[in-house]
Amino acid sequence: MNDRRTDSSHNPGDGTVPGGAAGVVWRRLKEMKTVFYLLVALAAGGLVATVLPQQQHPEYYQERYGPFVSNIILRLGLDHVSTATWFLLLMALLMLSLLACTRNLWNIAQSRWRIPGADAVQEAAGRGQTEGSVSLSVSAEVALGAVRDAARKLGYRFWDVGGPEGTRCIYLCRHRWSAWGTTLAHYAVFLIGLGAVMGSLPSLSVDEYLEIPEGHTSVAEQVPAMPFQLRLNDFRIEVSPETGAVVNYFSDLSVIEAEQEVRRETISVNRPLRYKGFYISQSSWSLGEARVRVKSGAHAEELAFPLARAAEMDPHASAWGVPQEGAVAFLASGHVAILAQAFYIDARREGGEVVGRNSEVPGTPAISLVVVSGLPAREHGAGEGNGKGAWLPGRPPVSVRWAAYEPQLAQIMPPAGGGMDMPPRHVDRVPQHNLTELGFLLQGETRHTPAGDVTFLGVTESSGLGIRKDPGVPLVWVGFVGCLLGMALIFYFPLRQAYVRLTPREGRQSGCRLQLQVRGGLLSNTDQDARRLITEIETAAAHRQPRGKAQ
Amino acid sequence: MSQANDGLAARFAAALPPLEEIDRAIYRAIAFGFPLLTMVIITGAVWAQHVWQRWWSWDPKETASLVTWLIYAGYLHGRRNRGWRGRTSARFAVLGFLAVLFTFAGVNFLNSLHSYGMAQRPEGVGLLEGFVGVSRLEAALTTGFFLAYLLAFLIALGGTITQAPRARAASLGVVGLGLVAHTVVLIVRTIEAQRLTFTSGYDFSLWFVWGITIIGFIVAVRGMGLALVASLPLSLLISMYGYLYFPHKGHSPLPPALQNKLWLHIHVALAIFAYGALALAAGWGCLYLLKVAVTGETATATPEPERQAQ
Repeated sequence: MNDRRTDSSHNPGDGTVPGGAAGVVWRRLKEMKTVFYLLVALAAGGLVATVLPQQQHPEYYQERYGPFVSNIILRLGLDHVSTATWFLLLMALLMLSLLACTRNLWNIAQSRWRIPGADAVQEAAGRGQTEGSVSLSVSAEVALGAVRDAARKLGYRFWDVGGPEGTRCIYLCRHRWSAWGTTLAHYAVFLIGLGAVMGSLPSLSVDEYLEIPEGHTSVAEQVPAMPFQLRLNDFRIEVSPETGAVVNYFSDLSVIEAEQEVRRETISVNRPLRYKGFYISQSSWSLGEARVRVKSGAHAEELAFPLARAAEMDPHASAWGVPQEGAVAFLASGHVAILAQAFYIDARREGGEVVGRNSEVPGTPAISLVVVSGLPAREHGAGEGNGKGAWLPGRPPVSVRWAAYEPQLAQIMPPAGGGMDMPPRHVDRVPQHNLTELGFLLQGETRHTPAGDVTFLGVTESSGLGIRKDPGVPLVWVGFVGCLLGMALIFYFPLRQAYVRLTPREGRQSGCRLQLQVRGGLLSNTDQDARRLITEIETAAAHRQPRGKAQ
Repeated sequence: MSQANDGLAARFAAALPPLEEIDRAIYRAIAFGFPLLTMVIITGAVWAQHVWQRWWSWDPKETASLVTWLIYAGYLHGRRNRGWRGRTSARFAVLGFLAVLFTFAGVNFLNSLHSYGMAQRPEGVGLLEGFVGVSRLEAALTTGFFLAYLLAFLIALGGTITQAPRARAASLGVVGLGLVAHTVVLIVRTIEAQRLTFTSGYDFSLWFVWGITIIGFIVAVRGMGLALVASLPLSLLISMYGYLYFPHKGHSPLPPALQNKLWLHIHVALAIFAYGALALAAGWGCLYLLKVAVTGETATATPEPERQAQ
């Protein structure tokens, strides 16, 4: 292949490289073999990252693969291939290799871009295709015009570069800009890699998750690298009325700087907020807490019950609920406790009964409450073993049976079994007449109880925001454009060069000899192109031949 | 029986185009598909940046796409600079397409952002009752185009072995009818879903098969009739995968992240044609290896230089 002879990008004998060990490394990096091995190694790493679940806890690998294999996985960093040192090193070597190759590809592109001199055309035409040598019955001057006509017809640009002793040398070229295609594509891939490396450096980039409840403002400690804060004014979920599926999530955000709102914008899944190089995107959402108001005379108090996805409590459930550890709330006096027994994210009343829907989408929420009054006041500072508790006679569907309100004992026992294991001295029974089961309250509903009027105010929602800053992205975009352009030039608009020599025929016969070589192009056949060019030149020559001389 | 089989295989292998021509066909298909594959990855990255503000997440599908890209990139560099031809070329075409298949189907078994749902077979649904969620018309048309592709493949294969003069026209006609039915299925699904159905695994398998078949059809019409023999087995294989792996074939609402339709459409449309071209290359690769195995021939012609300098 003549390409191996002429392709200096992989020629170890390049005189521009430094000497010594650095020179040896540089030459090795430029070798095709090195590029190939690097590509294979990166592909193998990628394959491991594809097949092996990434970024899991060590216990996950130990459980799944056993101690020996998991030890290998963890030691080699196969649990986080994309950020493993060896993988980043391979990437860096590939980048260097690309840089080494592209330096010479630039020179090759330059040489292809330049219009060759008469000597180069004469030599190349002489080494042309077998079919690329024909005799024409017209003079070299007429043939020159015929070559021009044929070139125009087939989309070639035409350069008459002269020639010695009556010989005419012509250079034809199609898709001349494609001379830069390979160089451009390689530089572009280098830029993409550089952008990727910049984006993965923790000192330059930010990739955090921030959850803000409605009406709250983030604090600096949550994302220290973010030079501003965010306030969630409102959060809403758009649901398709036809299918009931979530269509989009919307967060009404304010950007706060020096305690002043400097910008307000509503973001959604595909519409992030961009501010000072940070992208704030709608990443997820969650319910914050269920709020209940207890009003006794002129005194009103609000209690909050944290909410969580039921999956966090029970992996087989898919709705929302009140986690056990947050299911009891006390009024300030300590004499009244309210237990949240169950929660529906969306419910309706049918004939007096509340029917809940097992949904991931908030609708009209409902909460089932039990009011416990007449409790003894909490004893602060009591020693171990003096904890006070409340035993709630559990019967289905009451799921919360026991609450202890000393901090160290603040736990809710499971519905069956576990509650009985508590030491009896911790447990005080609550008389039946102190319990008021309210059943389910839909949002906005109120019940009268001995402790006061209990109103379910509703739920607050939290917006999960992705906070990202990646200074490598502009480089990656430029790389993408360059890569596409380069590949389009290489594969779809390939450079096509034709070298033509016209030599006047010696002796009595008039006319000239045409020699031609077509080079380049990845997808089409250069022999075919040479034949087509010659046919067109012959046709054009026949048209240009003076009348009466046609043969 | 064995001799008869050997005879059929030998006659089929002898009827295949010269090895140099198949080698060239492999290269042309990859050289057409590789830039498209690059565009698929790039548009996916642009889309991911737009939706998740992260252009690359090392998600299994992304990683598998990158591995596929690296395989083809390695092949193109090897061909250009090391003169890889013949069996090496054919093996790379097959290896690359195995990577494509893994990217398309294999990651469904992994925890990926691109994993398609609905892979669980509904209870009480038998193997051949897999058209759950679609109309009878669509089920009939889908069965029709599958049978048409199968018939066209058998005609093309038989015609190659027997050198029947009308086999090429007949196989093109049958596959053309199949493509019409297939296109109608895609249109019907688009009308039902009120959007281009690019988002479920079953939908994409339908489009993927359409891409492979139409590229094979175009190449066959342009002169290389055996393109149908190269491409249709893969069309049939992926049709079967779509049918069996996704028993529920109805439409499901788009999750919010998939509602950025412009990039989604560009990304998937490019993938259809990229995968189609690479499938054709793999089909040619199999035919090349078959011919070498049966006839013991090796390519002899000097490869055309593809890198030139002045």
